[in-house]
Amino acid sequence: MNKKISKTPYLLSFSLLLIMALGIITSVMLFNRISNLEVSADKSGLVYYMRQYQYELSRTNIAFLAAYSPVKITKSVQSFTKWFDILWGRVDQMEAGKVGSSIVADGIKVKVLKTDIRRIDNLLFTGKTVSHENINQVHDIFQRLMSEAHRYQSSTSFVDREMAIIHQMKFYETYRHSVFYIIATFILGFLMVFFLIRKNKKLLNLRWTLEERVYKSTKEMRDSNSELKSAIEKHKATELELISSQLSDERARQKIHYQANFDSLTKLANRNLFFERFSEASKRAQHNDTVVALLFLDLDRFKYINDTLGHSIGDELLQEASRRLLHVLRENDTAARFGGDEFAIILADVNELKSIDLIVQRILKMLASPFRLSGNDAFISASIGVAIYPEDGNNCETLLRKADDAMYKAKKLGKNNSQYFTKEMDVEANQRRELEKALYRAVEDNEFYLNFQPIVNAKDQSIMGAEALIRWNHSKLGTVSPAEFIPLAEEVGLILDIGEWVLRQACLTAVTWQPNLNGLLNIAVNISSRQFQSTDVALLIEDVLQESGLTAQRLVIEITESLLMADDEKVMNQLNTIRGMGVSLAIDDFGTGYSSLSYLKKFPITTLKIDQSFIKDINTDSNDDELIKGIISLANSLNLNVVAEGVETKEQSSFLLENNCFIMQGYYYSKPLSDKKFIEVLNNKVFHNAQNLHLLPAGAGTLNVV
Amino acid sequence: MLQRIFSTLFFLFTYSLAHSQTSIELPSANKVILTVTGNIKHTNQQGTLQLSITQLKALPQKTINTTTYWTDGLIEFKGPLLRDVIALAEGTGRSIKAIASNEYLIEIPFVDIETYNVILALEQDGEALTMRTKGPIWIIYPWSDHKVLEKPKYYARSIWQLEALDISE
Repeated sequence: MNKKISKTPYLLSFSLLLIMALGIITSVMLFNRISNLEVSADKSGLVYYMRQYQYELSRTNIAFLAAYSPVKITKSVQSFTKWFDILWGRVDQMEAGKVGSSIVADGIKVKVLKTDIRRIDNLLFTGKTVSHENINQVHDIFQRLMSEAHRYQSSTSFVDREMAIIHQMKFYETYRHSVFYIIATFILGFLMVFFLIRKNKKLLNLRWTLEERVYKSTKEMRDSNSELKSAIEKHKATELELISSQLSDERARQKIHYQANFDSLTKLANRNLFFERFSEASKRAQHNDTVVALLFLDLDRFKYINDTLGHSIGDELLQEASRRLLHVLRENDTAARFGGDEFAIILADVNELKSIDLIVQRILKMLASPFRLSGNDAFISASIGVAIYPEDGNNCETLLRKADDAMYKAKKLGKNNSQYFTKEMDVEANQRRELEKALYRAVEDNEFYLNFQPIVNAKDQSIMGAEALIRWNHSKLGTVSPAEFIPLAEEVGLILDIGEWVLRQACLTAVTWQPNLNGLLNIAVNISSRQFQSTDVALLIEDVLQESGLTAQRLVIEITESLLMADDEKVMNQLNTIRGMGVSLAIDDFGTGYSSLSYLKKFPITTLKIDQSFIKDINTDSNDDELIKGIISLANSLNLNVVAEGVETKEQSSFLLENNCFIMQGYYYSKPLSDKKFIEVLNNKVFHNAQNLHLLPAGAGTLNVV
Repeated sequence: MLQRIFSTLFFLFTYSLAHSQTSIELPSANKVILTVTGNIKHTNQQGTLQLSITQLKALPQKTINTTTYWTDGLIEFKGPLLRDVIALAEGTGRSIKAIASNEYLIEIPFVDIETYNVILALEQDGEALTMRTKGPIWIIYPWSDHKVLEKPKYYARSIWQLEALDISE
């Protein structure tokens, strides 16, 4: 833009020069045209001709008068002759050419003129001497011609014509002058402009460079300005980014903090935060001379609910339980979840022990009320152990362990109650921990062995098979009951190893048994629900059967009702696969759980084992009697086998036989036997231990199915 | 430019003529039909060059067939070129004043004689021109050959009954 402005003077001056030059050229051309302009011959020719005629006529007349006057003038005749010849020449050709035609057209009587001239010629030049008469006649003729010519040339039309010609000529003259002046002006202008340009060139150049410089610097300034702007903008953007990243950082930090400190499922504190809060609370307690109660809480029957109703419902239960806990707790208290159904609670700033009791009771009450979870009503309770700071310990770790011990005790004492930590508990807990350690070692060192309790056909007293039962003989602790160590093994996960060992060992042993009259003997093995949930039992069984060479038909897998109630597809598939191999499936302790008929149809169950608690009460509790009858008839209608467990007396045996249950297991027939003893019994066909020492004769009836 | 070239050529021509020709004889007084005066080098009578018809006819004769403004039909004019006559007189300048017997006077620029074959016509259709037939000398332009000449300007220069030429700067 500025560049253009700076060029303008140049453009202007050059265009001015151009205009000047064009002006000069065109006016020169015009001048040429105008200089050639003339009054047309048609107009001027006649006038000049006639003027000349008059002049010549006058001169001839004068010459005549001089030549023929009384006083002779020398050479006058010669002069007249000359002029007469001249006049003759004019008049003679007066009609000829273009000028002639215009003369005729103007009404001049050329013929008369010619005649007059010829008459003069005759009168003066034919004779040797010219008579006076002739001279007079010639004189008259000249007088007449003169007056006629004068009359003609004085006529308005002729004068007008002459004037017009003069005018026109004057005009042309004026034109010529004007154009000349125009040219001169243009040339002058051209020179001036040229001169000015030359003169101003430096100035213009100066101005141009100046403007250019200004433009440049302006541009630079603008550029740097915009750069600055963009830099500022960038800066702003970065700032914003920084802020947002800081925000997101903050959020991430918060999230991390949350994840680090809170349990994602229940939104309660996690172990981390719990420890932190405890240290704060303990400091306060020290300062204020108050105490801190540390509660360890475990939901009773939670495992069962989780197994039977599914994990999602279990999670729901945990969330609801957490809500209830928080509802009960005070502001300064902290509830934490340590995983599974284990909760820990800090009751801070406690002045009186009584208030701990109050809160604990409220917690128990709150958790004992029914839970409605996705349309299922669940009843749970809690066992709470309490440890007190600083009485029971100084650090959180110790107090937690002690509260845990107290909780364990509470659980043992029948659940839905609370226990304060006591010194005795420490001992018990230590024993338990000892046991746990021992159990680990036992698995490593293989301190287990199997006992086999015969399963008998009561009709003929023949042995149909045996249930494999695990035994543990510890070097220091002595014989440990499975009721003691199996739950512990399940708790710590050792059940997987133990269970596999039992299955393998049982099968390997059973293979060695000789067939008796009943054919090949069956071997029943307990498989924990844990095993089904954690491993592929079907695959294990297949592997063990292949390894041991035991036919699948001889193996009975005993499972608990709770496994079926979980309604797990994975479990269902495993059971179907197992049954598909030909392995029988028995429900152990039938009647103690949530007995549901639907799963009996749904799962490929072959056998029901009636729980010994029902058998024990035969003939003492009529309700149980009816229940047993019901179970038996149900099994029959579903085409399932029924086995009675824990048969201890003849009455019980008789009752069962009467009610069509003839497969039995119990002390009445035999206690669990070592492998060796069992083979012995098989060989001797006698039961040693039973008080009535039943013989085991070869029964006539054959039962292929356990 | 063209004009200058012509002038130079003309000068060279006249110069060569001047040095090649001997002096022109002065005709007797009654034989003189043309007097050249003014800026001339070749003279025979008191700074003038007096020429007779014989002397004019001695120059190369040029024939022009043309119509004129004052005559009817095509006419054959014959006579020496005006430029030859000027050359004969070694005349230099810009214009020639031509004077007729009837005291008519007109200026003829040199350009005319350099550009066109302007002749001093002595004959018309083979007959010598007399006073009564616009003679004895009539300056004729070749109108029929050059239409641009058909203008009053040139008509005016076509002087008849020519008596004298005065060459001036």
